[in-house]
Amino acid sequence: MSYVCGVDIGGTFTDAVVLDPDGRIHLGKRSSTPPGFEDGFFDALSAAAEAAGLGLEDLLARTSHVIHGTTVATNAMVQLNGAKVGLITTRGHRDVLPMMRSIGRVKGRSVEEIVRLSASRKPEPIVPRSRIEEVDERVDSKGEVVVRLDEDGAREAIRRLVDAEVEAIAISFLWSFINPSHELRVRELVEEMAPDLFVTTSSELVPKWGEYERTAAVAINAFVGPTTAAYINRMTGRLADLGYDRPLYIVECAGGVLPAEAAAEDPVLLLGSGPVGGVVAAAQLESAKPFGDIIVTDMGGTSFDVGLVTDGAPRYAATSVVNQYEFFIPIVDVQSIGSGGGSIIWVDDFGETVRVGPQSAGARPGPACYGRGGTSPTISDANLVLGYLNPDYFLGGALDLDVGAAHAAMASVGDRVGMSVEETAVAATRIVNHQMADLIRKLTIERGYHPRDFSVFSCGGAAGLHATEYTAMLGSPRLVVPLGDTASVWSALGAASSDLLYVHERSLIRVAPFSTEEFAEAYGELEARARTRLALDDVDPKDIQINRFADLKYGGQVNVVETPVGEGAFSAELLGRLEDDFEAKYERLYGKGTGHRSAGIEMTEIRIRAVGRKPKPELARGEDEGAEVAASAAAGARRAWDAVLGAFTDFSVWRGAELRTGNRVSGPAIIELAETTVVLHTSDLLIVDPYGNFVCERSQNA
Amino acid sequence: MTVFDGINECYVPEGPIAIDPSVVLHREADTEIDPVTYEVIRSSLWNINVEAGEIIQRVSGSPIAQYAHDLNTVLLTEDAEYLYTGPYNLNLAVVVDLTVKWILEFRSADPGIADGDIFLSNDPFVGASHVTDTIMAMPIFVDGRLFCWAASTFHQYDMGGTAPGGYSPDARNRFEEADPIPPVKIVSGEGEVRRDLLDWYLRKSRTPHLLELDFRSQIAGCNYSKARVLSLVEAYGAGTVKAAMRKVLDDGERAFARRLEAIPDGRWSTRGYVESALPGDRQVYTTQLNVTKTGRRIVFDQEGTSPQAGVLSISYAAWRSGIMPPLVRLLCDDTMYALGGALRCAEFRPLAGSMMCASHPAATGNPGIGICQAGSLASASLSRMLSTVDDESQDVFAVAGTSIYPISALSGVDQSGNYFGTIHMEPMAGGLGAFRNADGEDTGGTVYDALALAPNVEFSEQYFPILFLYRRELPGSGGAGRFRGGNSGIFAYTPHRADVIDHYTATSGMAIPTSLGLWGGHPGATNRDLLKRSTDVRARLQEGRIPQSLDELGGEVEWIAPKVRDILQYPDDVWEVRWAAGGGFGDPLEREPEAVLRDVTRDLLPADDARRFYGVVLVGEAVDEQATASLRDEMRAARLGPGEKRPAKAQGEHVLNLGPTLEVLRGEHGDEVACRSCGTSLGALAGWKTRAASVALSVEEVNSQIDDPARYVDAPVYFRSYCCPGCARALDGEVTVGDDAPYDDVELAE
Repeated sequence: MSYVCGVDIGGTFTDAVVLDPDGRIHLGKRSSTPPGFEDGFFDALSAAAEAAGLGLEDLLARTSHVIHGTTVATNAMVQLNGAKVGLITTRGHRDVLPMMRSIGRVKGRSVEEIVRLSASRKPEPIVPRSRIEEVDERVDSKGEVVVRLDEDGAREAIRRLVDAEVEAIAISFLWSFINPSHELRVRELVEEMAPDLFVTTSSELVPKWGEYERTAAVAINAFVGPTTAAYINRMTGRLADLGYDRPLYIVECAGGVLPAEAAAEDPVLLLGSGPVGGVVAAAQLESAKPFGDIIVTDMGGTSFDVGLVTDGAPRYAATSVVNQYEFFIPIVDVQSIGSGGGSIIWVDDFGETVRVGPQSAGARPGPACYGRGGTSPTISDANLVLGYLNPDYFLGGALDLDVGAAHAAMASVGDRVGMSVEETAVAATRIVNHQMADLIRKLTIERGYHPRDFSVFSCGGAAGLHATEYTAMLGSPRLVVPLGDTASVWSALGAASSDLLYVHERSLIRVAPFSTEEFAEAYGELEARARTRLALDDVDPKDIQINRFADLKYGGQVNVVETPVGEGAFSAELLGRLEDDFEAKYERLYGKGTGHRSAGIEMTEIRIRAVGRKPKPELARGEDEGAEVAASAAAGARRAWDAVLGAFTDFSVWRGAELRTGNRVSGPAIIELAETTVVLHTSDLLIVDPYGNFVCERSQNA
Repeated sequence: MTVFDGINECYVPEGPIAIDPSVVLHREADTEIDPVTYEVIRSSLWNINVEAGEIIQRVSGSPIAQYAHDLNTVLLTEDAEYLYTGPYNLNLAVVVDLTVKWILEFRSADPGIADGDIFLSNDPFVGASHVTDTIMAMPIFVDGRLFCWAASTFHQYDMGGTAPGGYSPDARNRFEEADPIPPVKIVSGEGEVRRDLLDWYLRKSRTPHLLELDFRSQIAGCNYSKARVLSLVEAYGAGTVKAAMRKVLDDGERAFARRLEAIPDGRWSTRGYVESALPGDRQVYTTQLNVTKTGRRIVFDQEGTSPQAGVLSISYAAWRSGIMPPLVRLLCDDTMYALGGALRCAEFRPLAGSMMCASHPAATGNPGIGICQAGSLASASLSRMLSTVDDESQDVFAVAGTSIYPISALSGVDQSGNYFGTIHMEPMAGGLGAFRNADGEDTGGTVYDALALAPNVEFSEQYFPILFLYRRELPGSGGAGRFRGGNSGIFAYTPHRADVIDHYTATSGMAIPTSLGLWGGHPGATNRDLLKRSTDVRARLQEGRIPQSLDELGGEVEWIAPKVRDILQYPDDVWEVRWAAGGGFGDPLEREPEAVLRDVTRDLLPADDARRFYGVVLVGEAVDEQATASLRDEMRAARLGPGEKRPAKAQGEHVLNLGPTLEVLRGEHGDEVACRSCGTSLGALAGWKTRAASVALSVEEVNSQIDDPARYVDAPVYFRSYCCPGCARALDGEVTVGDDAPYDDVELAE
């Protein structure tokens, strides 16, 4: 039996998780170390090794695989310090990228930044026009060559880019997803003329319909490519220095992992992978299975992230958005708003109304109570004022909180609206809880789901303070703090429990009835690609699972529904079932009678998700130790605001690490963990399940 | 006496509406609401519209909703005041209150208004922006009393009439367009759709099935909003929710009034022109929008506007809706577009029978011209007014591109026998007008659509039998200025797998620029459709070369007029569309030479334009500072003309700035206007332009993407720049036609 290591690098902290052969989890948390980040990686992993009673080299010697979540690609994009990229496009279409379909001015920006015309602009270009080259060539919508590729012209274009000292070349021609021959030929020319350059083509990366989102994907791939590849090489190098020669896997935004060398080839797949691990953990871990469909919420210092797990799988978005660029990389759909512990509480100039966020005090100066010079009141200050946070036991006692500063800051807002410090704090938390509930509603109701059919997972440092309240507002039946104190490193645990995943897709625009031969051939190609790849990764064929999907829509309508394609040979019957399944799913998501049936069914894309299952250590399960909490867990009581009673009252306080399977804690109570705090109001009842999940059943509370 | 009842004249409600006593309004509101409950309800009210809009888009699945966002959702109080409007098409945000007021006034007795009803209308004389926008309005009842309204308006692909899509270039009156439907109760009582009425409604359309999906989507949107409102009422009580609604309005009113109070009292006007009322017409028509601000009131009127003519006319509702986007962008950005409060301070005074408030039976189906023009004029007048506010955080901007939507429609049957039809959506990528402190964004969108989205070439080529030769941003199309207007774009295509394509146009802004500059900034590019006949395009493609301009092709150029029908394009013909770009802000000679250089090196400005409009001399990749300084001196001298000039300096105390170039001083002999750079007096405010050094140039001289107006209209069209007789700074400018004299665009109250 062997160990599995997961390391997740965030902006502030690097979290490491070690799963031992007995299914126990060992944690390590250390500061991140920008700009290199490697030191933080090894610091955190060493800490987790120590917790497991091993030295780092000993641990690695017994480790079957290391899984790593990194923001290196995201950082390159957000900080715009990626590679010097050259882009080659079809003659006449150089401006595809800079025009950004116009929507790039506001894509992904907050509504406040959208309403005011001057408040949002297009981002600085990742490829300036001077490095976008046009080449004579043209393919039409049927894939036929209308203008042959001008190879001499292509060579000249490449030469100019090489002379301009580009570090990477991206190639994106119109309709290349149907006929990639011109792109592939230009790729060959680049490889001939400049063999060391990072080169990437849109038809290989994302053979999908829509030149802007395809071009953006390939340009971003080139932009973050060299930096990410260098980082991954450094990592494998250092691991090798420590004697480790088994696989390093990198977390991708689609919710699986890739071998390091595949990640280095297409680093755009890592963009936005940061908040994905938590959703994957909820989808994959045995300990989450009892809870059915899950809303995964993660609240940290600056943002609140929400993702969904339905039918055991994360919910995906077909495109990613980073830095206002929208591009064709399927991603686990995680939506965020700027509601975190650091969100600033302020007063509307006109309404004399309390508002919260989206501005955040961030880590510096941070909330007033951090004593780092912040004077604006924040949600963390409100939580301190309301008695939820323990000034002497924040981050396990690592940071003393300044109660006086929190009160003074809160008063600066309260005085303007005639409210006391406490009233202001209550107001601010109520508002932020509503903001979070609104985001969850947006992610569920607008997508055809209802929160009452989901369990809510509370992850990250700050969620436990608010989760009982927003869960109640949504009418969800159950709140879970997964694995108790492990919730704060949930994302790293998600990484450690991920399977290999290759998402292969391509556009195939067809009108029903579909051809069984064409389906067999098209899916066959995608599957063969995945199996070849998984064989390279040494995955045993019995551990390979390939799921097939088709994106279908009604003619004349735009809603696309990803529909599972049944298993087995492509018979007329199977395709008939596909159409029926599409129609049923359409009705479920969009409502009865909303399909434009008379216009027929169109297919736009086909896709496979090829999973290489990795053996996962089974998580340890505890024996029932009874409802009564051990005396060692009691940590006294303190006055805090009870949102159910609408008054301050005495809350019992408990050390979360001391809670055992079967223990029950009734609200009003506060459970303090090293990295997070869980607040239970009157009538909330928490039960520790065998995995160590803290479970609040709302139906029992009603 | 003119009766504005929505029958012969457009509906213009005045004073309290007479409502039949059978309908009881729910008016009770708690007198107090705690700030937190308020904030929670307020954000829910905002989100309800956003979510209802999402649901409409999802249920309809309509490309018009998805790509043009041509819909909007609103919540109205029981008596039809706006609470919030969705962040979709801002023109459509404000057309619903008129329809609901009309329903209250004319439908409350017969057939009555009851719980579960939904009314449908597309009547522009009542309150729709044009006949292809369907309004659905649902009263929401609490305890048997009318509590509020949920409504939406949604552009339909086709509602019948002689032109597919409804933008007829040649309708002489409304009988030659789709039928207007005054409000009918299409869902009654128990929430049941009246199938007979629905069939009658659907029968009008070339695409009845799509019309029905859109119809169902609007019903779903109404039902969703109703459920959310009722759940708020259940959670907080009707009195509390009503109190929150009142406060949204009161706060919006206070916020708006406070911003108005920071502005001096006065009247700001903008005159603009549109051309060609019907095919073959070469006349020019005047439109004017005047904003009078007194204390905390703002009045919009259309005095100076030509009488209704051909397809240029719009209804009162459309005129008012055109004003909304710049109004909310400029003055409601801090209240999340809480329009209702703002409208309490606003009044709209139409001129019956004018082009901007047409009388029945005028054709009003083509709002791409009139609504856009009303919006552009309002944008200019409001920005001019707000230029008096010396606060850089107050947005002020020149008119944005796509200032008249270049409706250029194509239709036909492709080689597989499938019908196709569309209008180009590329112009949604408008060049924004220059701001008071920044350039306008290139292909950055429009003022009226907060989420403007242009299609992919691959989308258009998939669904329409065309092949794009090029589609790109157009360097130099944005108006020159200290801050330049955003560039628009241009594209050209040839039929591909179709033997013939049938075109019509229904636009304006081809002869006369409509993206006006501000404070000396030049106008942005004009709209243009060109058809090059019998070219060698196919041979060229065969040879392996993709032509990148019409000049590279043989054949004959046909200049397409603003209103034409049945122009046929054959496989050897190439059609090119250019859309209007953003206006510039301030004197181009004051633009930082480095910014001009950057534009040239980034291919945003032709090198020739650097010298021609900005007086910047470039040597390779650098600015020749000395040559630039002397060229700019020469250009300034040319503005003043020959002869010695010793203009007087203004005397007196500073009263206010009219804008970045002009101030008002108060001396012993009253107020006078002065150049803010050199203090030269321009005399009294009235008629100051006549005392400036005036330079009139034909419009094609001030932007390399404006063409000779004589191709379209008979009258000459000028850009007149009014310069300081002392320092030659361009103080302001205007587009003017024929013998039209300079007009006073600012009057200040005593």
